[in-house]
Amino acid sequence: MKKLIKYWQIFWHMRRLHAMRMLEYRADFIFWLLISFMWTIFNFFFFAAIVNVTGVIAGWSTAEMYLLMAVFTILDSFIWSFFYNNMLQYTNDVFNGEFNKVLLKPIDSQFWLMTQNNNYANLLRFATGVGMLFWALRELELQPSILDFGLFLLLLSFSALFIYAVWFIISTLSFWVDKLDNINEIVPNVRRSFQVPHQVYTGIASTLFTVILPLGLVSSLPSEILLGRVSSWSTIFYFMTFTLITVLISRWFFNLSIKKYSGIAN
Amino acid sequence: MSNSQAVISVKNLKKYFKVYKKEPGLWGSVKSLWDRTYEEVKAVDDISFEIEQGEIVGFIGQNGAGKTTTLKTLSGLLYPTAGEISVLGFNPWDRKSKFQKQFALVMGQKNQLWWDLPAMETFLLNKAIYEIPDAQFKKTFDTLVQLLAVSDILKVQVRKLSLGQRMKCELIAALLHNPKVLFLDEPTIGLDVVMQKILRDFIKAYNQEFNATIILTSHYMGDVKELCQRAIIIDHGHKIFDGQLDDIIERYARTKKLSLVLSKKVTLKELSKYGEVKDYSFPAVTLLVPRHQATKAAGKILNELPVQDVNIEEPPIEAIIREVFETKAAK
Repeated sequence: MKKLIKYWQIFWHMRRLHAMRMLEYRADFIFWLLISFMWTIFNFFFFAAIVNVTGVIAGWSTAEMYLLMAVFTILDSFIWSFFYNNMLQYTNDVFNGEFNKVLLKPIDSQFWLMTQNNNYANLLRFATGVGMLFWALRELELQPSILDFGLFLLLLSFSALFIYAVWFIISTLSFWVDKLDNINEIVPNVRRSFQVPHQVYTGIASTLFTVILPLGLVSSLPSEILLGRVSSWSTIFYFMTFTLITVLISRWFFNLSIKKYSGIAN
Repeated sequence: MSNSQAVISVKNLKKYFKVYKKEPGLWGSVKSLWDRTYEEVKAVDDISFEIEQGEIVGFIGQNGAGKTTTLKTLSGLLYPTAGEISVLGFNPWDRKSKFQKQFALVMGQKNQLWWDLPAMETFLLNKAIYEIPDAQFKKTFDTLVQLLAVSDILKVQVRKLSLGQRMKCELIAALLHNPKVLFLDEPTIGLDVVMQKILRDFIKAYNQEFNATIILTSHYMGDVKELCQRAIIIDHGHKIFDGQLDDIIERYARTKKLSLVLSKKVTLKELSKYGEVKDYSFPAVTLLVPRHQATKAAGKILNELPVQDVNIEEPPIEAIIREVFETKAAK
């Protein structure tokens, strides 16, 4: 419990430090806030243009698709806030020999790597996603129970955890190769796979995106909880189990890989 | 030295790296796509030593000798290829929190301070990470701030500090948890002579106040001479000397320096009979004579030459160490 409190305090301490750092360069922050907001609006606009033409996508109505889009936006803003900057710093630190300071701290290295950085520029995007979610629920005349919301948040957390674990495994490859500049672009480039309902995937694509690497489920499953139309509880169970195993693999792979760390020549 | 007293114990430590060797030119780069030649570099090769509590030991060696690699291995940053290491009774590679709270590694060329914020913010973060109680933090912080005289820069953005000021703050950040073992890798690099002296005095004071065990690497022999009684010389990954700093002179110095002041001019040929004439600018002469003949030669010179004054000196330790490395390189 004491350890948990310590980690909780460090987590918020880091957030405060980043807030302070951000406020040192407020023009830069406001600019990024605007860029992020514009990107979200453009994304919604583009999405609306397609959905309004097709009407229904893989059995999901226009309003349901907006809800899915809202869930994706919440998740995506979280990913960009926490994962992107941290993974970028992680791989750069390994390459530049700055990883020393991570290994020297009396704190879990994986925790530190995941929380040492964050980007507040996605806050507006996150708020837009939340607003959109409640708007879509009202359009659909849905009033999910507290239990539904609890389950939704749990699944959303598992989705974030799954993306984190996959991304972390990929970034950890930086210990094994001299330099991989684009290693952190892999996950952002496959984000489209969870921007659509998992039912769009059929045949081999379905096996790939819902079984082998279930990225197709990360937005769809939490959305289905709120919509009250869970297609398969066994899929949810499978996804949660798969996530936990992936997290364990990421930890094992990290502990194996740091033995390869050579720092930088002096 | 018995094992029970040793705070740091290293036995047959080896750390090898695989390094890719590229042939020169574009064709070499293209060829490297499918055919690469790797070479094993023995950064540390079978090194053993023990260090007791409170000792300050200087690691001396040329660039690439294996000093930093040894320190990184002792800190648990690098996984050793072979050998046994114990620091404060821990295997560093296990990176136990209890161990990490008892040592610090300060590298002159790296920093842990938050660049965009005042150093105070890093100190407070370290307080949380190292779980330093409020009272201990205040006491240590006040002591370190006083010793290093940095009270006026604590609220200034780190990026706006001078190199010397940053180094002082780096030391505070590294020492807030009162480490029992301190690894200092070129802590005075790039600093001016005044700042070098301040840091040396501080390291000495820290060692005395906390009875801390310190390993220091530095290219400035002044650091080693002023702080360390014991030195370990590393060359190409091998330990070639481990003992008192003064013993380096006994073991490696082949000559002694005779400084003469002449009362009348003497020819160079005549002077050469007593030893190697290193410098002659009347009335001052510097002769190098074999160590075991120094006293005898001085007596002979006093009897045979018009001399006002004779002084027998040991050659500077920098010169001896340089000679050691040059001789090894020539071999």
